[in-house]
Amino acid sequence: MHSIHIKYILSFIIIFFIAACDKDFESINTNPASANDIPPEFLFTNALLSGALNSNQAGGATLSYAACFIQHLASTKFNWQGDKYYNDPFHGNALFNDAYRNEVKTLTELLRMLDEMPEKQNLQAMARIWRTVVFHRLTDFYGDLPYSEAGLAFAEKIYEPIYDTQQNIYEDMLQELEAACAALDGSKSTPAQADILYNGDVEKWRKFGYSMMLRLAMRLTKVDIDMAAIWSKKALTGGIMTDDNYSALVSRATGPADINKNGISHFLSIEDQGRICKTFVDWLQNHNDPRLDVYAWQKLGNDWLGLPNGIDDLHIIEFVGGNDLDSFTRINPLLLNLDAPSIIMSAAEPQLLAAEAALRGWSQEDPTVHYESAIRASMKMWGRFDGSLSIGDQAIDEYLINNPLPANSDNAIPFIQEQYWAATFLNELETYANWRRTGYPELIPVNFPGNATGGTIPRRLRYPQVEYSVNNANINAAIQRQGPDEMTTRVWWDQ
Amino acid sequence: MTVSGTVTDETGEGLIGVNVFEESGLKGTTTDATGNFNLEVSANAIIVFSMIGFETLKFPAPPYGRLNVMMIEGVQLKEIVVTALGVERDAASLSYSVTKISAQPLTVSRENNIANGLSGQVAGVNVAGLATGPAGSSRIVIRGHHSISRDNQPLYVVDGLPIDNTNLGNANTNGGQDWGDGISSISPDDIESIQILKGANAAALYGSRAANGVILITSKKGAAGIFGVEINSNLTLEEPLVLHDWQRAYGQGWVAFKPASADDAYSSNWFHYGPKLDGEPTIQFDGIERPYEDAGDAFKQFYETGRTLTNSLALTGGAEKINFRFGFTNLENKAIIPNSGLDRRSLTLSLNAQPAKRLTASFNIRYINQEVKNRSQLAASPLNPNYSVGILPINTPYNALKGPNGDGSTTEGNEFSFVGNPYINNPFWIINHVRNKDDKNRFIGVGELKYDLNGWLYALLRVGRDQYTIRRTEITPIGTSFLPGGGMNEANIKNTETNTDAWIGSKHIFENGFGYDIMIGGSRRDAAFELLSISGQNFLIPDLNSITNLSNVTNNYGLWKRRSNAVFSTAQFSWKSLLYLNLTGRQEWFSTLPKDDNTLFYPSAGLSFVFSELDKMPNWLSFGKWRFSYAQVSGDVDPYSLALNYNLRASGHLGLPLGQVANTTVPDEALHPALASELETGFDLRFLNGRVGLDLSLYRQHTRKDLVVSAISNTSGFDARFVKDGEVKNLGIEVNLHLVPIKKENWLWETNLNFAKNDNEVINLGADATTIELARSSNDVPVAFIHNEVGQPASVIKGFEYKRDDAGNIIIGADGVPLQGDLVVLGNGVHDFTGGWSNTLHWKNFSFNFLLDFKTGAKVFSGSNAFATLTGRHKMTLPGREEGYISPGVTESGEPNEVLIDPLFLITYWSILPGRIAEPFVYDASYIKLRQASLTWRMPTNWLENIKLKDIEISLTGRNLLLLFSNIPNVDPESAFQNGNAQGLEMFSVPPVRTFGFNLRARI
Repeated sequence: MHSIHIKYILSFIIIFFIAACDKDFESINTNPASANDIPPEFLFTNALLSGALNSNQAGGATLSYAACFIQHLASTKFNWQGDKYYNDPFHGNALFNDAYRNEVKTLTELLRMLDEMPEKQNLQAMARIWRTVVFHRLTDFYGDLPYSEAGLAFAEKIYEPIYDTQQNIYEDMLQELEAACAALDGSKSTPAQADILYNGDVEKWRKFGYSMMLRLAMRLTKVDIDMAAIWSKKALTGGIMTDDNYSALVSRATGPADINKNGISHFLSIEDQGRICKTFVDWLQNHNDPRLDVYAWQKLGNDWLGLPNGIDDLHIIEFVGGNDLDSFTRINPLLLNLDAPSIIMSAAEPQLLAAEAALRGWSQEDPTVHYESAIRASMKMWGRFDGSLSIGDQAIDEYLINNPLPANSDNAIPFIQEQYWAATFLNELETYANWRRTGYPELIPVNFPGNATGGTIPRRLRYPQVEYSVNNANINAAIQRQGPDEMTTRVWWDQ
Repeated sequence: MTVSGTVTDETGEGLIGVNVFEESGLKGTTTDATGNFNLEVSANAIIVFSMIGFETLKFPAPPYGRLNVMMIEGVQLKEIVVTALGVERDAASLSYSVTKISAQPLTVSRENNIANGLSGQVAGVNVAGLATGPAGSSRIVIRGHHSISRDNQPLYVVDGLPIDNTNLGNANTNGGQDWGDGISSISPDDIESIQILKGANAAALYGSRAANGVILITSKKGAAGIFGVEINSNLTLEEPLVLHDWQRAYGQGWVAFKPASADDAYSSNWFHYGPKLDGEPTIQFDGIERPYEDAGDAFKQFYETGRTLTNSLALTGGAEKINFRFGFTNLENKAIIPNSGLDRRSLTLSLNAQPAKRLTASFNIRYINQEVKNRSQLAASPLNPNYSVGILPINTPYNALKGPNGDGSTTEGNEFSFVGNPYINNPFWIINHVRNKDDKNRFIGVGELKYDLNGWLYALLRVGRDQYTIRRTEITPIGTSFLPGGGMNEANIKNTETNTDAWIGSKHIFENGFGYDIMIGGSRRDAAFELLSISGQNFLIPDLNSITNLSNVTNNYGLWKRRSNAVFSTAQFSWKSLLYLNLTGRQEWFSTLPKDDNTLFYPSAGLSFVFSELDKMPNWLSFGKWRFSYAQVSGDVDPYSLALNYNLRASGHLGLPLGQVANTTVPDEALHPALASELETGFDLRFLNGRVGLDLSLYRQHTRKDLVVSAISNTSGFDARFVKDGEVKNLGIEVNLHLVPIKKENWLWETNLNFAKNDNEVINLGADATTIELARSSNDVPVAFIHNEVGQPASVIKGFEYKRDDAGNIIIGADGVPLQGDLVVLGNGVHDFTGGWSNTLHWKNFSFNFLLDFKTGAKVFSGSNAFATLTGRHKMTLPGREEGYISPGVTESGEPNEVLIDPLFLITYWSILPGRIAEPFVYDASYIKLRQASLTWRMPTNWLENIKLKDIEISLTGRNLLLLFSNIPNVDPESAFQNGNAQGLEMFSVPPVRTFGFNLRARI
């Protein structure tokens, strides 16, 4: 009788366990909250939104550094270390860290997916253009960077990407733009509303692509004038943005999550410690520029009062306005709604660069025409933030009469750079890059005790310290090549 | 059969009232006035002798029916221990190290998390001190890190059922809370004993999770025929053990001047580079002038006296074929941080029955309800009150932060901010307005049926489930500096773990002295963790803290499932009481691994030689055993590690979905089971009737195919990847020395010294890596990293050292600040030498007990000290305040440094230094603590008879009473803010507390 029990129990164990040793394991190990596949358009929307920069990137890196370096903004506060040329790794790292984890990662997977989808050639071209948007900002800000091997941990098992030279990155980005613009085809399908930049408009993307090409080409005027000329001509032949309808602005929203919000507005809603710099307020005032009322806001009844750079709360007492930061001119709150669009490129930028190219003799067009359409585009664009901010045609005409493009090209090129500086407010990474390229407007640096640059305007930001921990050999090779990892070291095109 | 005998104490006096019962719980009795007993038991029964104040003893029923027992206070020569799966074995037969702890001291000198009570008690069991508050997690590591990145904590098993010990959220360097772990729910009042199986041998029966050792918890049970009531009441008061010792001579200011305006004071708030305190009226952050003087230590004013009151009641009883124990414990804790604390109620029911002749059944059921209020934020987190209080200016009175309403708010109801950084928050605002709470309901049930087929063959089925749900609410109110619209998070967490084991077993001892004990069976484990959460920002209706009252809401859902199946077998062959051979084997399948490489067989073998059983051994040797064992064990990874997946980010954008890659660790379809092995040998020697005992173990643990999650450069697109052939080794020695120096009529002194040394070395991190990052101190300055590096122990602290010349002089830059040297290993984050010394002294009805606990061989990167240096609060920043500072060292050309840092620019010096160099903030983390002390008085028997009670004990008790030795200023050397593998970082956590208390225990 006992043997019956034994048989029964043994077969119970065998059936229950052994026969089922790995049955159902694959379904158990399938994540119910994620998918094996996804429409590429979903990734594209995310890449565009991430690339429009979050609060840490647009605020921390862009405002508290770049905007202070080029004297658009100023702050007396310790957190705004760019105002005094201090080095604060937290804010300084933000652009770098978040870009690779979000936009580069998403774009890499998107482009890998699109390799198998020839019918989505427009989407692929748009993603390639967007990739240059992401990378040129990074390399302009930091210098040599992981580029050719970036984002490939899954696809190619590259865990310690090499740092490409900025020269190689630029050469490749220009070729990417050329190929992508050529691939755009109005007769093929488009990502339509998933494209939060241009709503699938192929023509606008092509103009944006060539405008990016012009931006990158002009970046090289100091380091390789021939290359600058060749690529500028290609860009101008291809066709750049002509008016504000083409300006590249990414739509944002008030929520639900932080990523939906305009990064600049979100940052300032928390750390409202930046004021418009005295240099900038004075320039706009001296030029009787109607954009002063667009950019700036002053307490009723008070005169404009820009805040100088390089002043702390102790010393601000000695200045007019004193220690009450409310007496200094602020950014117009109408530009700082959480759903304000993020500026990637305004049509004014390529038009000004086209004017410069014409002055350099790289096109037969009239630089004045480009200059005037640039000013028109710049003054119109702010209407997209709030209807009341659109500057009327009469005021624009008046401004153009009072501020004509100088006839002499020696004067005209610096003049254009000052206008570029004035037009690229809130697109501070671009302002900073163009200032480094041209040296205009001539800015007087500040020399606050303990600054990291010996009282000179920084030429780049330092790499995140963590790269020394996880990618040591490659970052050291980059530093060997490029120069010490300091804010005073110049990037390749800034030599 | 009937067993009869006499129970005596050490002096040979008969002991009255000793509980004598069959361990299966069906029959029991008590000894009479002369210590005699008679008990009817089944053959092969285990007979238990228990009495308060004496070690519980267990003996197999003797074949000839006579059993005389001497019960000794705290000393025992022969015992039955519980091994894996609840199988009981004679301790002498085991070929690996097992240590048993009585749970009773853990109820007198309590910790809220019972695991912390093990600190210093057992050689080789390293209990890390966490500074995360009363409901925090614990971290126990036995014999060093066995894995480079996977969990290194032991498996906890309660009454044969593995329970969940998931950490529900740790702080990292950017802050966060410790949301607690699984073991913290278990109340010590219901526990009979705790056994620690240190090696990997138990893994054959428990599976891969036992690779790091097993902590077996055995609940108290009832006994037939004895109805009893037991009451325990415990009250403790708590206060911070280590206070800050900042400089108190120089006041607020950042360039050698006092703040000149409210704005200036506000933005330079935490900097202490102002002039010497002079008592003159000086403007502060709120525009009020106050004397520029030492306004008192905010640290002392902020923390209240904590209080924990624990009451428990247990009823035991039974009839012939059934017995029970029912216990209820209520714990109420008010923590040292105002408005925070923990309430915990637990119910346990243990039931044993014999429903049919050959069938025995037992059930253990626990229900635990835990409510935690306002777990503190930790580290460099916004809303961390410890951080805010730690950096409050010396000349700002703590009460000035109360603001116009007295609760840290402004007249408009916003946060009364005292510092120009929105992420540093007013402590009054935090404690009065910011809220979090979590309510956990946990059910642990295990049922066991055993069927005896005949005298030598049995079958057993055990099914158990550990399930809990947690409701968590976090509210950041409107007006908080960094989130002016406020925000809220609601989460529901459900965790389940189901274990099923079944086996048939057979054991027999033949007349020639040969015996065997064999079992074969199978087991299945199913585990799932489910999270559903809603979070949002911007409250619409003020003062309505509801998730439905937010303008921005996002949802989150996750479900992580895993299963493992196994078949196993164990066999023990014995010859007399002299020689035992133990063999085990297990084949385990893991759902988390690829289908074609998801299983591994791992065996173990061991020998125990009880040489004291040999003839002609000297009398003074009471017991002597040599043991030797070898075991292998496998392991797996987290679910969903194999394939690339996509999901949606946040809640989309303007109605459009945002797609992203879900994985942050690079998926790897070629993962394989991990493999580790352990070799152990040791002696257990007892002399002079057990008055001297020495237990010594040597082991060599070697993990060869470790599955390591290794941090990689963000530029690769991912945060981490798998390294499949990680290799790490532990080599160690454990010594436990037991002495009874005094044993007289009214006196007994027992002392126990244990220590262990573990040498850990990371041998291989994969083909293309020599160092990987586990954690970093901060994204901000100053920075240190925790790495695993080939050739170093696991979890080393790395940071930039000073740049030095060949003679070792520090090289100073042209700016007068030391230059950055290389990124180097600055110390081991895990102590490699641990131990404890416990003493118990009995005199008549009094007993006094204390435990010293010591550790050395580790360092800690102190974020608190580094930040205090940056802000001029640290005493290190005092030199040169008046006359300027010349950093000692040489210039790059070798000349003595002569760059004088102007007192005006000391802030520059001290803010550049920590940005460049981590070395000065890495401290030796060695310590000696008076971990526990208690004085107990037991009411004499004749008094008890008068009041008709069985037993009354009153104790004065304390834990963490004194920090006797420490090399780190301002913080407790046990101040980790998380319980993961990355140990060695500290940053403004909840200060560890010293507790004093009172315990009353009565039996009716």
